[in-house]
Amino acid sequence: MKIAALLVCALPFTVSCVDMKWQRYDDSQYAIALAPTDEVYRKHTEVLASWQKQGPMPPGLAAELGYYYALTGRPSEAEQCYAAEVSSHPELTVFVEVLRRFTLESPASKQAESPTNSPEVEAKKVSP
Amino acid sequence: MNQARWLLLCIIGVFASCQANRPVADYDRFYERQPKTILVLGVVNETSSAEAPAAFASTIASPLIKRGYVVLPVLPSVDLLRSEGIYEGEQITSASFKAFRDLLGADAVLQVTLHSWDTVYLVFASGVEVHMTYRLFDTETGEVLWEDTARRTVQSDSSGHPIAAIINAAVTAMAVQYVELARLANAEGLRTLPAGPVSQAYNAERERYLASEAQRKARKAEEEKRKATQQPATSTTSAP
Repeated sequence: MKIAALLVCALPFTVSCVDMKWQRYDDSQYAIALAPTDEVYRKHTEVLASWQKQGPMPPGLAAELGYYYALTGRPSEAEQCYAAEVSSHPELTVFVEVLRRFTLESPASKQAESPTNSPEVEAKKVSP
Repeated sequence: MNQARWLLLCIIGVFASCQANRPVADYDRFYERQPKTILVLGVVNETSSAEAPAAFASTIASPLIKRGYVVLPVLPSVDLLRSEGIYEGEQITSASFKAFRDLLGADAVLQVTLHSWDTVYLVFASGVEVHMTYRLFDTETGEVLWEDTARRTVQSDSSGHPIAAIINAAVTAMAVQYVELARLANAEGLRTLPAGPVSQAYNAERERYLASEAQRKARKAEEEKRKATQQPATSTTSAP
């Protein structure tokens, strides 16, 4: 009975924690959409990495973390995230492979170690 | 006692007739195709607001994932499409949907059109009146699987926090407000989208819809049969 009462009390807290994660995710993603810089990439990467540390991520977010690792010059961590995404959500295999090629194999990825100079960033600066 | 019973029956009757007159949403194609992975095709902006499309695109993944869909990461997808020369806006609608399936593995693409985004100035909260259209296209056939057009007013709630309320009213146009309002608008706008295949509610919702559709079709067939049997009788009586 006590355990049930504790679970009922803990439920709103758990729900609000999940909402808080999404809120932080939306906010840092919005900052990227408005004006991508090294700083906002790092902030979004931190938000996603902290989510990953706390347990399984919703579909797509590990791939997204890999993408921003690649853009900030951390290719080995990017590879790990892509592999984790495919392993937990196989339906994203095609997409992750395209993303992997785009970020880690294309000539543009060589410049991605300095995201503010990458073509993607320049494109975003023109039309956020 | 009898009067109370009659009143209750009248009320039930009124509610039942309202229910019967409500238009039935057609999800036949949706459940036939069962889209699971969704690519969000940016936001078509018909407003004068420069920030609203970014806020909408940044806040659309969470309600979709919570509804039980696998969403291709939104901003990386936008970058990928831009690298292929595809930008947000009208030109994407004419592109071949099949390419999104073959190249990115998307079962469906979601396009959001923002028709209007008018800020409402309130004393204790900030809000917007938003007019938007969501369309979910099947990438195999290009058909619309679901759509919703709505005008809704959403406002960020700051009740119970007097200081926050004052700050809220003063900084209505600031970035944080845009995100919060877009989050609420997206949650509202996607309310009629059926639960996705990853959701535990998917099977129950699907069964409920198929059962109600079967009942509706049976009723329609019965009505047509009844009309057909009445038709000859009417024509013979009206004949000179």
